Amino acid sequence: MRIVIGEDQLLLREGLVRLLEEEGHEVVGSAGDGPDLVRKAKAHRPELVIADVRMPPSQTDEGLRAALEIRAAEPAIGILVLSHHVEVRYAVELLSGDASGVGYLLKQRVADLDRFFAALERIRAGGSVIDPEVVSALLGRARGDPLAALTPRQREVLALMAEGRTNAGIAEELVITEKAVAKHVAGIFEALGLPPSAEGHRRVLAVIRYLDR
Amino acid sequence: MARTHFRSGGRRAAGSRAVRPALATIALCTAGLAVVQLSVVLANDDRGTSGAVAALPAVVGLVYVGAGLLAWGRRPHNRIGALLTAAGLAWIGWGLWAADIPVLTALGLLCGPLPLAITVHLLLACPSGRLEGSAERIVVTAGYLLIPLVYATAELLGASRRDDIRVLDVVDDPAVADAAQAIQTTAAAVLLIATAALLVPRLRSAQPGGARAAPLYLAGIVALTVVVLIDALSGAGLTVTGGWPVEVLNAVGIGIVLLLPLAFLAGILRGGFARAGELQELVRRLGDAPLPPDRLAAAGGDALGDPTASLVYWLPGERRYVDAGGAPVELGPGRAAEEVTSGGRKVGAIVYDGQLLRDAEPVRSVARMSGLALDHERLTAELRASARELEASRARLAEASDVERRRIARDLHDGAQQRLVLLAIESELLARRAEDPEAVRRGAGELHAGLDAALDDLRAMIQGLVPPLLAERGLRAAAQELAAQAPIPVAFDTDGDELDAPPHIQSTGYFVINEALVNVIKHAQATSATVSLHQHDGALRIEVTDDGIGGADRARGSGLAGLADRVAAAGGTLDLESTPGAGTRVRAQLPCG
Repeated sequence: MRIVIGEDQLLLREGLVRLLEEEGHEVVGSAGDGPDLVRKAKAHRPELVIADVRMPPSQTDEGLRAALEIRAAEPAIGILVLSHHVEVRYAVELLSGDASGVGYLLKQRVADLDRFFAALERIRAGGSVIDPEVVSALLGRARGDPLAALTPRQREVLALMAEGRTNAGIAEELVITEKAVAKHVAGIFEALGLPPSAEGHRRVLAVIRYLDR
Repeated sequence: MARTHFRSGGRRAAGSRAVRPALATIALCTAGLAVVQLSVVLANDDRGTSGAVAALPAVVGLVYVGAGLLAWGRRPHNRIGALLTAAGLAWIGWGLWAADIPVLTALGLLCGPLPLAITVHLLLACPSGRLEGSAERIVVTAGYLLIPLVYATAELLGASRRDDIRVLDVVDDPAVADAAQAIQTTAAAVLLIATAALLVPRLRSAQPGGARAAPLYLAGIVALTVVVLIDALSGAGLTVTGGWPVEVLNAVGIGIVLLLPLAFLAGILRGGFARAGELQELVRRLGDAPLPPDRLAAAGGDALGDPTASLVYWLPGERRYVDAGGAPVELGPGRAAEEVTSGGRKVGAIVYDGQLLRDAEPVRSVARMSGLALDHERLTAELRASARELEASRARLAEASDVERRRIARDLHDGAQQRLVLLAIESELLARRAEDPEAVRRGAGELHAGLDAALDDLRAMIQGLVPPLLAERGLRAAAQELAAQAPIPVAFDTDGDELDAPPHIQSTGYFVINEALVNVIKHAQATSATVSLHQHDGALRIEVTDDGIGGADRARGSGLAGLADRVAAAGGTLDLESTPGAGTRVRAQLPCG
């Protein structure tokens, strides 16, 4: 797919480009700061934009805001936001509104090539990808009876669901059948009072919204 | 009138120096006058008295003027000097009655009562040079107005009975002349009795300063009595003791009168009546080297002429004065006190001889200076304490910073550095197994896991040092995250407005909340807590409260003490309320201006 990258750290940018091109993707533009990223994304209309949260000029959350801006302008473009550290609130911001085709990962996950490319495909396909760190932070802080009502297995399924995995992906990860996964998912939704939904990104959104309250 | 004495502070000191040329001029003129008077009188062969007796007024006058000028020079603002000089001039003037020229004789006779009036004034105004009380003023005014009037009238009516001054006689009737002289004598006697009546109570008061003036009073009373008596008796034609000529008696009387200026002079020279300029001199010296308040009060008293002046301290709790040693002080008879205030409160008083220094205004100046000296002492002590505290705080901050650095270095050394060295070794080992793809894959996987772990370590360390969220989204977001991450429910109370505070203030605020929450979680055994963050009136207000066991102490556990230092360094304040059993409240206020 055609990708635009926003990353101000030179070595990392070069590394990413090489990685993507080796996999067969085409990097049609690369930007070093927020406004430039938005410009290039609008100009090239790629299928995916990969952006670092922290970029010039303010070195705060430039990249995140640029990604959201691109999202608002061109909803068809998938966005993957990377960072050396991840924050729950950034995940929530990315997922608020239309959560399809959105991803948020730690930069070091890029090194896990299989998972990384799979995540890119998922995003392009309209799914959602959330770093396990975000999920564990969410699960760590959430208190209250409903979660306590879940079985340990259901909690595992919940965590993978929040990351954005499909039922098949969860089944593979936990080495159980997809049917078992579906049953667990249904149980989770019931216990948490969430409406069941087949679409991946809606599940993620629902879980994260619920856990972050 | 006395108010002007010390208000014109600077002019006074200069005045006492400027006065000297004037005094020298007066001395010269007086000497000249005396010479003139003497020559005129001695040239008159018809005077009827011996040359020595005729010269006495001039001699007496010169002694008075000499003493007067000396007193005037040493203490320009004290009228005694001027009065003595005036008396001396009056005496010289009176001596003219023995001249041959009718005009001069008349002048001399008219000057006659002046020495008496001036002497009365001197006695009543001694030692401060001022009259207190209406009784004194009435007597002196009578002396200056009534006596000369009476005397002049009496002379006109022929009281002196001298042939050579008949020019003044209006009525040539011996009976009238007798009556006139009797009136003269009576008037003088009345004045004398009134003066004595006013002086006797002063003799009684056993004050050091008053005692100094006692010989003066005695001499004055005796001299006056003798002079007036002799005059009356000689006028009546009687001799006092058998065979003593009237002239000799007169001379003795005048000799006694000479006692007066010498007594005044002795009183002045014996000290206590210090130079008037000394008070201003003292003020100037204070500019260079401040004196401690008690020494200042004593020096001020000295300058004013009362070495018994001292500073006593006020105990508000016990409502009384104590001296420097703490012993209670009572105001004895004749002692007066001027309040000393410092910082708007009464802190003490200057106790001094009220008889010696009748005018309270200069004492008030000394009291004010003592108050300033006390203020100075207090502020200096406060400043020193504050500087010591500041130094201690800086030392603590520097040490805390050093400790922090060492901790980071150690963590890096023990954590990431170790891992990376191991990973380097593993990568080398991996290279050696390059022919075995399975081993390579596994080895690479292990390397990856190791690097992931190292990255996780670094991420945690960075979060502990400077949380990225604080830098990216500011204090409110970071605080909210702290509240959310806590293992117990922590409510976050804030308003929605954008925080307008410099980064280091937001950073300090973050560490307050972090440290406070750490304490809540580690020590308080609380079930819930609240973090409150607001900004108004140019300050950030942070509060962390919990419902735990309380009993937190700034001293125990360096966390809160270090926090206090940090908050103080940012210009803010940190409060801790922690009653055992009633939870804890940490409150911080940081300026954003």
